[in-house]
Amino acid sequence: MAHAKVVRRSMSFVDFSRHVIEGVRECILLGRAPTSDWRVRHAQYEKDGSYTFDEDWRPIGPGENWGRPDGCALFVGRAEVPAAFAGRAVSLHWPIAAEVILSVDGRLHDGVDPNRSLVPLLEEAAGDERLELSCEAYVRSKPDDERALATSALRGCVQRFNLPELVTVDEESRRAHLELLVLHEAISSPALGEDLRAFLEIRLQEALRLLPPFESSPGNIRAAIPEVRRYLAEEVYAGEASPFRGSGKLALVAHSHLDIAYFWRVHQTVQKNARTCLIQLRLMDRHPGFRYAHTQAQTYETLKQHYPALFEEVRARIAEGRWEIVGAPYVEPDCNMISAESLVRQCLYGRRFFEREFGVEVDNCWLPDVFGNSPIMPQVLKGCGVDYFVSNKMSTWNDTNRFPHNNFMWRGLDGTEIAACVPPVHFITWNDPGQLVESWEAFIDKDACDESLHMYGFGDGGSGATDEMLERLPLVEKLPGMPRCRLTTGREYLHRAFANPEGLARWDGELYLEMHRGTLTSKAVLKRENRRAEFRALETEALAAVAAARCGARYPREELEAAWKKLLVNQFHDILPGSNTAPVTCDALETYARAREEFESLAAAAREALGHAGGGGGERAGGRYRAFNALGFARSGVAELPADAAGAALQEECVAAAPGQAHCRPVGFVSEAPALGFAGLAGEDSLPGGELSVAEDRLENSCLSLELNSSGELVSVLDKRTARQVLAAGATGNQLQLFEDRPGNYNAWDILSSFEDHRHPIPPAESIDVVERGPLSVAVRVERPLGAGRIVQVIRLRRASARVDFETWVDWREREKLLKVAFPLAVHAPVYTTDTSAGGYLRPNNRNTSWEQARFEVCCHKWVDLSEGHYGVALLNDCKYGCDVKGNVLRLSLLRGPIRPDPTSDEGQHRFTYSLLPHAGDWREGRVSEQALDLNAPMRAWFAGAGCSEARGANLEISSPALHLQSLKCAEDDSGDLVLRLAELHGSRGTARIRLVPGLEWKSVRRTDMLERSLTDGQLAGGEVEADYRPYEIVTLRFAR
Amino acid sequence: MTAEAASIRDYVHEVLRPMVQVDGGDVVFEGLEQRRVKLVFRGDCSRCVATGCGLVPWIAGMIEKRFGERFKIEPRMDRPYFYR
Repeated sequence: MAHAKVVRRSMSFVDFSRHVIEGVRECILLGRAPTSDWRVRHAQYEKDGSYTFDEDWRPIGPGENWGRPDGCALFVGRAEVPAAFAGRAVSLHWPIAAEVILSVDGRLHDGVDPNRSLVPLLEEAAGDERLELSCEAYVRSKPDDERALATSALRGCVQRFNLPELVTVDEESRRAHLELLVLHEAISSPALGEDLRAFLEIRLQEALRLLPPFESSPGNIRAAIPEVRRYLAEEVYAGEASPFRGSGKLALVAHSHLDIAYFWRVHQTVQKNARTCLIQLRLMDRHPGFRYAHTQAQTYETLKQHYPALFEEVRARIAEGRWEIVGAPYVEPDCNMISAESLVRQCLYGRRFFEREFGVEVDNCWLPDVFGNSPIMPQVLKGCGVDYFVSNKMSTWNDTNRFPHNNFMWRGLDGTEIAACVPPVHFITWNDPGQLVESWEAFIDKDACDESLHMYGFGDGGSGATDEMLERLPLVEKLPGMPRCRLTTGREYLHRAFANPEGLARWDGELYLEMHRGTLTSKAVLKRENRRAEFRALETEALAAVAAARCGARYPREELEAAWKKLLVNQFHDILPGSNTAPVTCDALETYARAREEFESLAAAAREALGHAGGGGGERAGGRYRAFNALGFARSGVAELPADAAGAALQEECVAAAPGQAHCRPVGFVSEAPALGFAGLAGEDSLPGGELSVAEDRLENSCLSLELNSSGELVSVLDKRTARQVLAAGATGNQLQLFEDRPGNYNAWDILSSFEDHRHPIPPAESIDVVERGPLSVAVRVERPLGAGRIVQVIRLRRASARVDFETWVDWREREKLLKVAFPLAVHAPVYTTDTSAGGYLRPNNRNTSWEQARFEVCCHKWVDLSEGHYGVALLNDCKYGCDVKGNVLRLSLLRGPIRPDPTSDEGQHRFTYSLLPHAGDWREGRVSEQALDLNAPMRAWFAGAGCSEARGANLEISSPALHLQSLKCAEDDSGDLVLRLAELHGSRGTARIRLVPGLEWKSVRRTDMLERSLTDGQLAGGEVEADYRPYEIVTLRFAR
Repeated sequence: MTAEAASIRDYVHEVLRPMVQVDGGDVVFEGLEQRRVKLVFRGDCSRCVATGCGLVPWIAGMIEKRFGERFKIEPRMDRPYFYR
C-alpha cells in the first residue's frame, strides 16, 4: 500500500504568533523625530590609525548609497530634541547593517551595529537639546552574528542610508514585546520538553487573545498591553508557582569573540575592538550587575594606542572587578601548528602585558574558537602559570564523534594535567530559553559538576552582550523549566568548578577537532613564513644572548619582543590556518617581511658584537666565510654562501625554480659546527668519505641507492647500510597525488573524508636532467605539468647522508584540489609518530573505530615517522603541517586551492622541501629530530672579514641526546641572566650535564617556570649544571653571573 | 585587447579588486564591448544582495572618476556550487 507522508502546509500557531508579536514590537517607538544635516566622508582606514580621505564632506540623504569595500565612512549630523520629548528618556534609533562608533558632542558615546539599533541618548530630556552626532562607520558584509531581520536585508559593502531618528520608547510595549518574544522562543525550541512547550503554547495563545485583532493600530495594541503583561506575570513568568521545575545550573559569562583578522584586516579590528569595548562599558553603566570577559592582549594594546580614553575606562572597570581579562595568550592562536616556544611567547608576552598594565595575573587560556589543540599545551600552559583551559570547539563542531567531556582534566604529552572546560554549546548565544535549556541538557559531566559554563554575547567581529540579553535573564529566571542562571566571571567559575578535580574524567593527549582539517594546509605561504619566522626568531635570540654574555653587548629585549609579536599576531586562528581573505594574507606577508628584517638586523648586530661581522672590501682578500650553527647539537654539512661568494664555494646547488629562471646557490661544507657556535668552511679534502654518482634515473651515495622512473617517482630506494629496500614491493615513492577537494561552504577549513574518491592524473615528467654532480651532492631536476600549472623538483642526495631532499617549486593553478605526496613503504607498524615541536606523539595506525577514522588528516610539525622493530622511515618537511598515515603509506599534504573565503587562495608560486629519511632503529635512534632541525635551520655562511674572532667552540653542551635546545634568551627582567629552555624529545628520563657558554663564571643556576620565575636551585659544579628530566619535559634553566 | 580595455582591466584588478576581496568577494574584468565593461563577480559578491544595487554602481562611479567616462557595467555572477 502506498504511503504518503503527511506534510503540514497550513500556517502553524508558532508561525502566526511571530507576526502578532512583531506587531507589538512596532509599538515600542512612541515619539519619533528625524535628525538632520547628515554629511558623509568616505575614507581608507590606514594601518597607523589615520584616515586617507576619498573625498570632502558631502551631504547624504535617506535612500542614498554609502559605503565602499575595504573602507569606512565618517558621518556627522544634528539632532534637535523636540519639546514634546521633555521629561522623557530619548534614544537614537538607527537600523543599520554596519558597525558604528557614535560620538555625541565630540565624546565617545556608544556603539550601533546590526544587533543594536536603539542607543540611549538622554535619561531625561529637557526638550530643547541640540546634539552634534558624529560616527565612525564600517560596512559589514559578512556578519556571522547578525540576528536582526531588519538589518540583515540591508547589508553589503555599499548600503542605503537610513536616516537616524530621535525616539522615545514606550517601556510597557518594549517589556511586553520581550516577554512575548522569550515565550515564543521557548515554544519554538525543541530543547524544551513537549509537555512544557504545550503548557507554554496554550498560555501564549491566551496572552495573544488579550490583544486586539491582528494589525490593529498601535494605540489599540498599547491599550491592551497592561492586561497582557499581567497575564504573563501570573501564568508564565510565575517562578516557583509553575508546575514545571527546571533542572541544572548555568554560569553565564558575557563574552565577545573577536577575530583579529578574518573577513577584515588586522588594522580594521582596532575599530571593531574599540566599538566592542565601548558597548560593553556602556552596558556596565546601565546594568550594575553586568560583568564582561575580554581576551587578547593585542586588542588591549591597540585600544591603548588608538582609543586611550576608552582604555582608561576599561582599566577602571578591571580594578572594580567588572571587566574581566580572560586568556593569557597574546592573541587566540592556532594551537596545532605553532611551536612550543611560540606558545610560551604567546603566554609570556600576553601575561606580562596584563600584569604590567593592570596588575592582573591571568590564569586561564580562553580559546573558544581554535581548531584543535596540541598535546604539548598542558605543560606549556601550566609552565606559564595558566591553570585552566577553555575551548568550545570540540563539543559543538566535531563531525564524527561527540566529545565525551565538558569539564575534565586534560593530560598532555608529558603527563602534565590542566583543568579543561569545553562548554557544551557555541560561544555565540543570546540567552534564548532554548539555548539555555540545551546548554544544560548537553552538559555531560553532571555527575561531577553541578554547573556548566555558558558564554553569551555576539561575536566573531566583536559586539558582545546587549541590553536585551541582560533583560532576558529576569524573565528566564521565572520561566518554567529553565536551568538556574547566574552572571559570573570566567575565573570565578573555573576556580569553583575545578576546586576538587579528583572526581573528574581524564582526557589524554591531543584535543583533536574533527573538522577544519584543511587549515593545516590552506594558504601554504603563511605556513612557510611561520616556520621560517619561528626558526629565525630563535637563532636571532640565541646570537643576541651569546653576544650579551660573551661580549657584554646590549641585549635588544624590546626590539626582539616587538619582532616576536609580529609573528605572534600572524599565528591568530584565522590567519595562520588560512581561513581569511586575500588582503588579510597580503598584510600577514608584509608583517612577516617586517619581522624578518628586524630579526636579521638584530642577528647581524649580534654577530658583529661577537666579532663575526662582515669586513670591508679591503679586508676581503684575507677574509673568511663563517657559519653559525643555531642548533643545540654539533653538526656537519652544507652551508649556503652569499650569491657573490661563488669563488669560495665547493659546489653550486640547483634551486628549484620556474622553468627558464633556474639559478644556483653556492655552497660550502662545514666539517663540525659546534652547538650554538661558529665554524669556518672546510676544503674539499676534508669531506666525509663515500662516492657519489648520478644519472637521469639514478642517484647514489654511501648510504642509499635511488632509482627513478620517467615521472620522477622513486621505483627503488635501497638502503645500502642495511641492504634493505625501503619502498613497498611494486610501489613507487614520491607519488604526487592530486585529489578533488570540494568541502563546500567551509572551503578553506575542511577536507572531507571522501577526498580520495576522485584522483586526477598527473602527466609524466617532461624533462629529467642531472643538475648536481658533487662533490657535496648529486641531484636531478624533474619538471612536470600539473594541471594548468607546473611542478619542478630537485631531488637531491648529499654526501654520506641518508636524507633524500625533494626541493620543490610549484606554479599552482588548481581550484578545489588537494595535492599530497605519498611514500608506500616496506614498513609495518601499528603506530606512527608525529612531531609536535616538543616531542614525538604516538598515534594509532588503524581505522578501527570512528575516533581513528575521524583522524584521517592530522597535524605534524617537522616530521612524521613510521617505524617497525629495528627500522623505520621518516618524512620530513620545512613548512608543512598536514599528514596522514594509512597502513604502510606515509603522506604529506602539500597544497590546496580553496575558493572561500578567498577565491584566489594559494594561486601562484610555492616553494617547499620534504625529505625521505630511512633509518635503522626508531625515530630516536635514527636521529630524525636532528635531521628535521637541520632541514629547517640550514647553516648559512657570511663573509666575516679578516679580523673575525677565531672559533670559540660550543656555546652549549648537553650530555643527553634526548634534550634539545628550544630557546636561549636573556631574562625578561633585564637582569642579564640567561634563560635556557630545553625540550626532552624522546620520551626518556635521566640526568643531563649542561654547560652554557663555557668560560663564563656562573654564580647560580635555577630551574624556573616558563615565565622565568624561580622554582628550585640547581647545582653548579665545574661550570656545569646537572638537570634531571622526565619524558617530554620542557626544562627552563636560568643562569646568573 | 585595446589599450583602453587594458587600462580599465588594470584599474579593476589592481585597485578595485583588492578592496572587494577584503569582504570575501572578488571581481574580475572580462572585457570591454560597446562601451560596456563586463565584470565577473565571484566569492561572496556572487550571492550578495547589495552587489547589483550597491557595488556595481560604486564601481561604475570609480571607473568614471578614473577615466572620465560613465561606462555601463555588465555584471555576471559566478556563484560557487555551495551558494547555488
